[in-house]
Amino acid sequence: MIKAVIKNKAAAISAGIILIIALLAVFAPFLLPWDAVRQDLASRLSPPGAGHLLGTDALGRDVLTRLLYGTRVSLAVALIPTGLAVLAGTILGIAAACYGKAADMIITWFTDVTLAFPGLLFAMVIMYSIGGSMLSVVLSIVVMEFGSIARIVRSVALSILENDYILAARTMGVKSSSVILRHVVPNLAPTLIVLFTLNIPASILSESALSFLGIGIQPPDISLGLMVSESRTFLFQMPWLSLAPSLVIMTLVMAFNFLGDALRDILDPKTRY
Amino acid sequence: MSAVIRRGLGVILVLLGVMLLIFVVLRIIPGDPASVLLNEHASEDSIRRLTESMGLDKPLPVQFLDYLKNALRGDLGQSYYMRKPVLSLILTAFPYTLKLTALSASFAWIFGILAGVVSAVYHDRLPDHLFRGISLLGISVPVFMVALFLQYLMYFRLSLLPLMYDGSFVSMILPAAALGWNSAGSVARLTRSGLMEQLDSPYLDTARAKGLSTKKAILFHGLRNAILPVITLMALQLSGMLSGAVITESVFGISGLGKLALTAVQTRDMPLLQGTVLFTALVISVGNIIADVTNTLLDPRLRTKS
Amino acid sequence: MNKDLLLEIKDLTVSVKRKKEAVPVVRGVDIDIPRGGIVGLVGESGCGKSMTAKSVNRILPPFAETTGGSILWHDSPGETTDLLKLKEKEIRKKCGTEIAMVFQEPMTSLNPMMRVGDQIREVLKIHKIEKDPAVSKERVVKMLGAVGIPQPELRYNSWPHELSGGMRQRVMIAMAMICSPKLLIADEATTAVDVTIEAQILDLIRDMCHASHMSALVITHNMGVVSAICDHVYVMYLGSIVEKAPVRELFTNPLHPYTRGLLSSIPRIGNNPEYLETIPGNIPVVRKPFSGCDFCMRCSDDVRKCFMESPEMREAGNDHYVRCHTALTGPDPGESKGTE
Repeated sequence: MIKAVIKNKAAAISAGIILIIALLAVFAPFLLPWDAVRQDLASRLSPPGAGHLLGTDALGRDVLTRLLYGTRVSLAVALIPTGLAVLAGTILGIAAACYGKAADMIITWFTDVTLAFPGLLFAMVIMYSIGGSMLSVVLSIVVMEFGSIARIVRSVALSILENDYILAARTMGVKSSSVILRHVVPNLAPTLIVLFTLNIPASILSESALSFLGIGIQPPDISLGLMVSESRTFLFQMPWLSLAPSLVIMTLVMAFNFLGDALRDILDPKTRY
Repeated sequence: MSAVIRRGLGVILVLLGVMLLIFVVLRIIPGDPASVLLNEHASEDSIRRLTESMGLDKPLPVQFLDYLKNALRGDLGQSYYMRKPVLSLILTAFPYTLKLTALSASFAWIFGILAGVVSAVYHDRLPDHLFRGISLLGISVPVFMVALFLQYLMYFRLSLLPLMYDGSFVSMILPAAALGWNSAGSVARLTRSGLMEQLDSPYLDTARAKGLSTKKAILFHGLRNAILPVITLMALQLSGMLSGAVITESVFGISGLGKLALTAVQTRDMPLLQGTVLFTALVISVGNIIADVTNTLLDPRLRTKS
Repeated sequence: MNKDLLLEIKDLTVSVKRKKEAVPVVRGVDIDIPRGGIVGLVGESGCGKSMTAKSVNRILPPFAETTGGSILWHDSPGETTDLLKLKEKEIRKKCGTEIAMVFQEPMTSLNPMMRVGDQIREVLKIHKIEKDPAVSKERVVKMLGAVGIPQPELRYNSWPHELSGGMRQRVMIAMAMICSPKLLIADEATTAVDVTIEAQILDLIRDMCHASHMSALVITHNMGVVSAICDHVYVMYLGSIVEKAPVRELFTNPLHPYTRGLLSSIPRIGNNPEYLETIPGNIPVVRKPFSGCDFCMRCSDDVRKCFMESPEMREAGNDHYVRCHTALTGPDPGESKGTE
C-alpha cells in the first residue's frame, strides 16, 4: 500500500505536505522564539516583517507561532474524533450487519437519528450542555461522523458476509464472533482506512467552523478557526491575519482529500462513498 | 402503497428519536435552568416558582411526554430570553434561511452540474483537470473563508456588493455564493463520477451509431442517467447546507434559523434551541422525501414498481 | 473485382492502448461487402470482430483507434469515400441514415430513461429528416409494426424495462431501419436472446435486407447464425482473417484448421459422440509480433514451417481463400517435426 501511495504522484505529494505541516506543528516550540499566548501590547498589529514573519495580532502575539500551535490543535482535533468515530461506526456497523434483525433495526434507527439534523446544530446542543471546550468539540465531531461511517460499514460488512467462504464457515459451525474477527474485520480494513482518511478533512472543517462561531475551542486555547474569528475585525486593514489560518486549513483539507481519493482508488476502486 | 406508509413511519420514528436525543443531551446540564435564567441574587423562592412554572420539577419522562404532546399541537414552548413562542420565532426566521439555501442550492447545482459535465466530456484533458481542481478547492475551503474572501473582494476592493444582508436581493448574492461554493464542489464531483460510470454503457454506443457526436450522446443520453444519484446527493447535502447556513448567516448578519440557534446558545435559551434543532430535522426529512419522490418521478423503472 | 461493392475494408489495423504501448487487435483485415449482400464475420470473443465493426461507423471506445488501412464506402459505383478520413461531423451524418448498427445487449443498448418510441424518433430528429412530430411518430409506429411488434401505438410509449429481450432487439432493429440504411451492422445481435427469438430476429434481418436491397455485416461467434442468413463468410482469428468463402462452400469444404474446429464443435443430433469436439488451447495473448502462424499452437498439424513464417492468403478456387500453409497441400511428411 505504501508503495502504491509513493507511486501515485498526487498521493505522495499530499502525504508529504501533511507530514511537513505536522512536523512543523509538533516542533513549533523549538522553531520559533515567541510565546503563543503571552500578550505584548506594545507591538500589537505589526505588519509582516523581519522579526515577526507574519506580523502580530491585536494582542501583540506572533501570528506564525500561533499558526503552528493552532495547527497542532486542529490536527489533534481532526485525528482523535475521526478515529473515535471510525471505531464507533465500525462496531455499530458490524453489529447491525451480524447480529440479527432487531439489532439492525435499532442501530439503523439510531444512525438515521444522528444524520437527521445538521451536525453544527447538534454541536450547539452539546455546547449548551457541557460548555465550549476541546471535549465538546471532540464529542460533536464524533456524533456528526459515526452515523454515515456505520452505514457504510454495515453495507460493506453485509456484502462480505454474502461470500461463500463465510457461509461455508458458518455451516461448519464456526462461532459468529470468530467469523467477525477472522473474516469480516480483515476484509473491512481497506474501507476503514479510506473512511478514516476521507473523514479527517470533514473533522478539520467542523472544528474550524465551531471555533469560528465561538462555540468550539475557547481562548486562551488556540485553533485555526478561532484565529480567523479573532482577526475578523481587521479583515479589510490586515487581511493576512484571516487569510493565513484559512490557508493552512485549506491546504490540510485539500491534502487529506487528495490522499483519501488516491487511497480509495488504490485500496477500494469499486466503491464510491 | 405500503412503501409510502413504511417511509412515513420511518420519518416519524426518526423525528421522535431526534426529540429524545436532544431532550436527553440538554438535560445532562449541571445545575437547573431556572437558576441560570435568574441572576445569582434571586431568592430560593423565586427560583422554585420559575422551576414550577416551566414544569421542570416533574420527573424527566413526564417532562418529555409533555413536550411531545405540546409539540404535536404546534407548541414548542416559550423562549426564555425573548419571551415569545418558540414556533413564531422560528417561523419568522425560516423564510430567510429558506431564501438563502434555495439561492445557494441553485447556484451549486447549476455550476456543479455544468462543471461535472465538462469534466466528464473532456475527461483526463485540460478542462477536466481544471474543473476537478476547482471542485476539490470547492469542498476543501471552509465556508467562512469563502464568505470573508468574498466580503473582502466584492465589497472592500471592488465595492460591487453590500457587506451585510439588508433584506435586498443584491445583498443575498454574496451569502448565497459563499454557501453554494462548497456544495457546487461535491455536486461537480458526483456528476463527473456518475457520468464517467455511464460512459461505458452500450446505449451511448447506440446513440453514437444513431449519428450523435460523443459529446451530444453524453449530454442527451448519459446525463439523464447520471442525474439520479446527484438528486439523492442534493437531499443529503441539505443537512450540510443548513450547517453552512449557520456560518453564513452569522457572517452576513442574516436573521435566519442558524442565527436563531446561535443566539439560543449564547443566551442559554433551551426551548428555543430545542425547537430550532427539531424544526431543522423536520425540514431535512421533508427534503429527503421530496428527493425520493423526484427520483421516483424521474426514473421509469421505479415508477413501474410502485 | 467486377462485383458491385458497397463497402471495402482494406488492410484495416486497430490498436488498443495498454499503458503506454499500442497493442494491435485488428491486423490487416480485408472485407468486401457487396451491395445487397449479407456478409458474416465469425470468430471467438476477443478476436477483434467487434473492433472491426466499430471502426466502420467509428464508434470505437476511447482506448482503441484505427492505426492503418482504409474503409471505402461506395455511394454509387463511381463515387467513393474513405470513412476513416471523414471528419467526425461527416461520419455522424452517415450514421443512422446510411450505416446503422444493432448491438449485442438489448438490455443495456437502449437508454433506460427514454421511451422506446422516442429513442427511435430521435434518429429522425438528429438528421432533420422529419420535423413534424406527428408525422415522425406515425413513421416510428409503422416501423415498429414492420419489425413485428404487436400493438405498435401502445408500445411506442413503453419504457425499455417493460419489454422482453426479443422485443427490445426488435426495437433496436426498428431504430436501425427507420432511415432505410444501405448497410446494417449486426454486432452479435442475437447472442443475448434465446433460440426461438434468435431465429425470428435472423429472419427479420434477412427479410429487411432482401426487401430494401440493404447490405449487412453480421458479426457472430455462432456458425449456426452464419449458415442461417449469410451469403459470404469471413473467419477471423486473433485479429486477422484466416479464411473467406461463400457460405455453402465454407460449410462443405472448410480448409483452415480453425474453421474446421469451429464447425466440428457444433453439436449435432444423431451423431451422438461421447465428447463435444473443442479446439484445444486458448486464444494466445497478443504481445510481441510473432513470425509464425498465429494458430500453430492450437493446430493439430504439427509442421515446422508454421512456427517459422506467417502464411499468406491463398486462393483455393470457388472464391475460397485461406491463410494456411498446409490446408491446400496437406502436411508435408518431410517437414514434420516428429521428434517425440
